[in-house]
Amino acid sequence: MIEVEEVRKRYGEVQALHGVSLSVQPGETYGLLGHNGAGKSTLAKILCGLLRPDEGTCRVAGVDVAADPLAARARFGYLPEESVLYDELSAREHLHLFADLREVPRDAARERAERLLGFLDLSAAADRPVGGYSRGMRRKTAIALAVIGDPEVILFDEPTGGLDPDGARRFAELLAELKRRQRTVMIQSHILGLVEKRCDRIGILDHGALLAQGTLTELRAQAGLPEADLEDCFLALTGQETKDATGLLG
Amino acid sequence: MSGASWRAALRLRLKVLQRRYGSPLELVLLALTAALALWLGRKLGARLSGPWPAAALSGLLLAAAIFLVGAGERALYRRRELTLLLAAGLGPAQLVRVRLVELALTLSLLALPALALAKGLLGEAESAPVLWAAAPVLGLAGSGWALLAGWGWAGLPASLRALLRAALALALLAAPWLREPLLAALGSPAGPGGALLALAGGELAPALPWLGLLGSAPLALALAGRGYGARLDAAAPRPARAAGGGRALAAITAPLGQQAGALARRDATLILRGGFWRGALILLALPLAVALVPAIARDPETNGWQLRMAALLTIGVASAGAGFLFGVDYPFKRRAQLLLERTQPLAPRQVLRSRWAPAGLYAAGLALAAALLVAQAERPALAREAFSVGLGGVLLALIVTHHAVTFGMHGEAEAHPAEATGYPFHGGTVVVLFGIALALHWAAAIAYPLLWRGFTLMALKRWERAEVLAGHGSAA
Repeated sequence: MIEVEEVRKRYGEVQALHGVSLSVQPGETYGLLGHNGAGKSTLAKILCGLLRPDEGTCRVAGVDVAADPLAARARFGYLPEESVLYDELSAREHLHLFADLREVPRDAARERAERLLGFLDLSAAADRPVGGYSRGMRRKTAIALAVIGDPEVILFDEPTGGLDPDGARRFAELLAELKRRQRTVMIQSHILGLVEKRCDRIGILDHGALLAQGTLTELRAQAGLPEADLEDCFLALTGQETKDATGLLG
Repeated sequence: MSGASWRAALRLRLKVLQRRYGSPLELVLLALTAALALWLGRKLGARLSGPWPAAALSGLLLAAAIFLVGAGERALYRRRELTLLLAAGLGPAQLVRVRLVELALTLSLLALPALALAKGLLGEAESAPVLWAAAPVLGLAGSGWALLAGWGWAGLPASLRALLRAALALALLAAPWLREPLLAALGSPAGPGGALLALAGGELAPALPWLGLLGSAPLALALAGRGYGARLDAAAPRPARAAGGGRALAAITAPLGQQAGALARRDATLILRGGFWRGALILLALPLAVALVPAIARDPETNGWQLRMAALLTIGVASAGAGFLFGVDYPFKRRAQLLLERTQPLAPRQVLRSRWAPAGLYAAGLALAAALLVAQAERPALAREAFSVGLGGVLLALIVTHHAVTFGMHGEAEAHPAEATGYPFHGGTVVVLFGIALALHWAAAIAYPLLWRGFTLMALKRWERAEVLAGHGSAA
């Protein structure tokens, strides 16, 4: 599970997080929404142990990230927003490398890598260097890397960016499998449809503070819009208005 | 697309190139490479006579020409930003023009070490300034050749390309047996090396055919470039090179354990596939340093202690080069993937082991090679130093590479190019201190863990605890 308690982080003059607290239970899929610069990436990096909070604590699967980052990372899978991969390595080589880094037994790693490649429709290209892949194929490879170690907690940052409809559907199937395996999943995305459909609870981060969290029904109640979809709730809660673009380009 | 637009595209590309290659570290490495080439050229110039200088230059120019075919093909058909540039409305002709300028600038810089080598071979020729001024000319001509040859190469059937690659590999393998005819062909005054030497000596006539060929490259490019648009479309789905197997690498790295072994395999694979060509070139060139050892041994004034000291300092400098590559430069080159690496449950000791093992083994190999060369010294008094050089050299290689790797880990999270440029001072201290100490007695190696233990522990802790700042990966 993920437990975040009163986490604060400052970059120089900018207060990135103002005492954020949230928890995500095993088997739960939690969507974290926020505008650009709301503090989502900072929170993700604190959860991964890439940044240390100025105050507050983060626990991943019961491990305090700041006190024991290595143990926390062993329980945590992360899909960064950008699919940063080694261009000269193939998808299969990436999977074997990351399985080794997570100390997955060789035979199990090989088997899991083949299953992931097949499921994500990468088998035919699995031995080609990823430098020649399309954006969607790179995204699929990065998704496979996040789950190759079968971590207890996984954070997906913009998981469907670059995926075609079939790829997005396969990712949704993967989420369902992770839920069956009682994995704790956090999704950060601007694709509100994905979050609305796949997340059990949703948190809205704005200017470094958690404005609201709960199920979609609870968010509707907080926004005072009982029939609204997630997009309207999000815009209402963050105080944004729809702008008319008529005549914008002259 | 208007002229203003292609100039905007060019400005964008130049800014990207400046960010990628204009760091102080790259400039320091370029200056060091040029200085090394100058030194090597002088040494070769003093020892080579007859057709050898021209043959050496011809060989260098031919190797550059072959390298440029690949560079041109990548620039025209494979680079990732092509999609961005073409989608922005840059037509094929404008794209060729943008590539011509950016390649010319890059090649002008790369020509400096080649010209330094040529200057070294020529000695104190009065025309030396002409050679330096030739860098941009060579850059532009090389750029024209690269694009033309790359364009032609991409148009060949795959079977013919495979055949040509095989022929080149066979020619390289057969070179030692065809030494005499090769020397005659490459060293001919009419060859490219001979022409360059003649030009540097003030004779224009022998160089005219080659200058004509180079000058015609842009013209041919303009003609050939007309079909580039269609060929670009045809080449769009061209698959990237297939990845090879790595069973041998797996066996070699197995003793390092699962995590460190995996990191070492990744590094080796990336180097073998051209992901760090600068490092690969330096690793190929570093053994040349060991060639100093027999030269010192031949000096009748050299005594045993002096030879031991010189050999150890040479090994120390070469080890610092290897340690810098694996411990500082290569991780810096991979900083775009730092985010991926740092989110894995990697203990810093595993990372240290994965970088130290290849650097240490490579440097220890150089030390043993130096000891073998000492053992072949004509004077028995010098040959007896082989054991001291071997043992002290291996210990020094392990110490220097270990220090370089911990130095790299100490500053890796901050990963500013300027930080890496501090290594020559820190690494130099270790090389000199332990080079002298080990020349006195091999047991002096024990001082390293005693004196540098604190630094090592601090580096490991710092690596583990370091923050990877927001945007670190994407900025790289």
